[in-house]
Amino acid sequence: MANNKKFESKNSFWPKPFLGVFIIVGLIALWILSSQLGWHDKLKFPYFLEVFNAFKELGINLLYHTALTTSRVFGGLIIGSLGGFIVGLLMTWNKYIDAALDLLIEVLRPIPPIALIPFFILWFGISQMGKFLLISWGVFMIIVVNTIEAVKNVSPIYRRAASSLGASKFAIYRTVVIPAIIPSLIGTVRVATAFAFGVTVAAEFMGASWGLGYMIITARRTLNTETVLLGVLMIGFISWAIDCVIRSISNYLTRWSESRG
Amino acid sequence: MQSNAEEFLIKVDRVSKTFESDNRKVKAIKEVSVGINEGDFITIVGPSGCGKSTLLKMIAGYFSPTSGNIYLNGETIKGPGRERAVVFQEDAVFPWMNVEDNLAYGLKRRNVSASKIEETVDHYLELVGLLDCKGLYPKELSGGMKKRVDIARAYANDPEVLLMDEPFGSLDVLTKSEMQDELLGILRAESKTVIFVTHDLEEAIFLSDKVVFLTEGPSTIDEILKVPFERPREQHLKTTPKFQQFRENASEELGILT
Repeated sequence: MANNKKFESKNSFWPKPFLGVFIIVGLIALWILSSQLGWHDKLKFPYFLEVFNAFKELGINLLYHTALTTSRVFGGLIIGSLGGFIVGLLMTWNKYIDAALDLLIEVLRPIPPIALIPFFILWFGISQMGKFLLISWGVFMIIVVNTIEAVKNVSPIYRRAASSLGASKFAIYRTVVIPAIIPSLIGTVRVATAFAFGVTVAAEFMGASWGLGYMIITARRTLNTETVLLGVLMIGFISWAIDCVIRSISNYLTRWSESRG
Repeated sequence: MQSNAEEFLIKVDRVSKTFESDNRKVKAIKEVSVGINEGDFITIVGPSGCGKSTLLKMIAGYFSPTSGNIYLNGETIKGPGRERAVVFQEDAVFPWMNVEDNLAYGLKRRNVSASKIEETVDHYLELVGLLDCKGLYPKELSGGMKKRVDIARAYANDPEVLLMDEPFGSLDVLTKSEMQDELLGILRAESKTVIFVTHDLEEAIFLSDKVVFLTEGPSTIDEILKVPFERPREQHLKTTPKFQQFRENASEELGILT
């Protein structure tokens, strides 16, 4: 007991969030220091001040690029997640729907969405629609498989209890299956978000007139590495922010869960 | 046979159950027949793995007999239904709903008015002494409290029979005796037909009017024992010589070591 107390006080001296911030601030400080003293080649890794200047130069345009990329990620994430969720539920609901779609999905799922970009450009041009569909496609494949898996993992005890209380199959899905799979699905959505960012930036590399991917690829052509790095940092920041939003929604939706305080 | 079935609330009529897995057939239950009257508290006892739980699950309607029939009010049971509430050994209280919503679950499934639901929920929460826990999630409750919620949820839905599948099997000894008293108390307040599966002979004798003994698989009914003790029963009944004697005779007769 006494030992436990010692541990606790030791932990509270360095609260975990502070430790994380400390590491990031430390890395930035190291970067500034290395830039000031010329420790590294600025073409291979631009100096802090140059990235800051690129940030000032781009000004409002950086905001547009970021907003466009974010909206594509969000749009694709929402459409793909909803689609995957609904199709996954339908496949567990009815064995004929499952038999009809299972093989098709298993064959299409391993194809990296990035490999499909040439076709999407042929079909939809460099329109917003084409990117939405591509990102949705990728997210859909992740969510649909995980939804099916999660439904299979719902304890049969809950379904039995519900049916013995007079619940119809539809009511069991609405009141038992869906709430039971939400914690594991949110984990999947978080993974899918990072994936969606990858696909979005790749799609912007290949054909777009706005977006962080487009910004990076055009800067690369002129060896403007500071803008490339700025784009990379923005992607990291935005995906972190989106993850924070998802986590706070998740905290609310899974407030009943045993694994949470 | 049909006319016979109508006399009982539940009539198990020459029921057999064979499980098939790969190319192995396991006969779990063989030719079991038993009738349960309204208001009966019967326990089903037998060695573990003897198929007593299988029998209860067939009455619940989770799967159907390989041969034979089970009747409720003279009608063949075809699937789960709200007339037959089930309390499991495992924790079956929905963790994503608070206590109040758990109790209201069955009522909400059949359009009972909101005011009637609230009244019913409050009534049964008070009966199990958990009125203060209305807004809590199951994760905030102890094992015994969750069992109370589970029983109250079954009661609130007003079933004709309560099916209990080793409900106190996973509780510690002290909580188990508490829950036995709790269950008898609830039954005193509101009588209900109960079918209760347990491997604990003492629990069976203490709780029920009739003990049905199943043999090792394939199970058949070995004997049905009438329990002579008056109600209300208290925990100290278990320590009385007549109870001990009754239990010993029963286990000797059946060759059960308890």
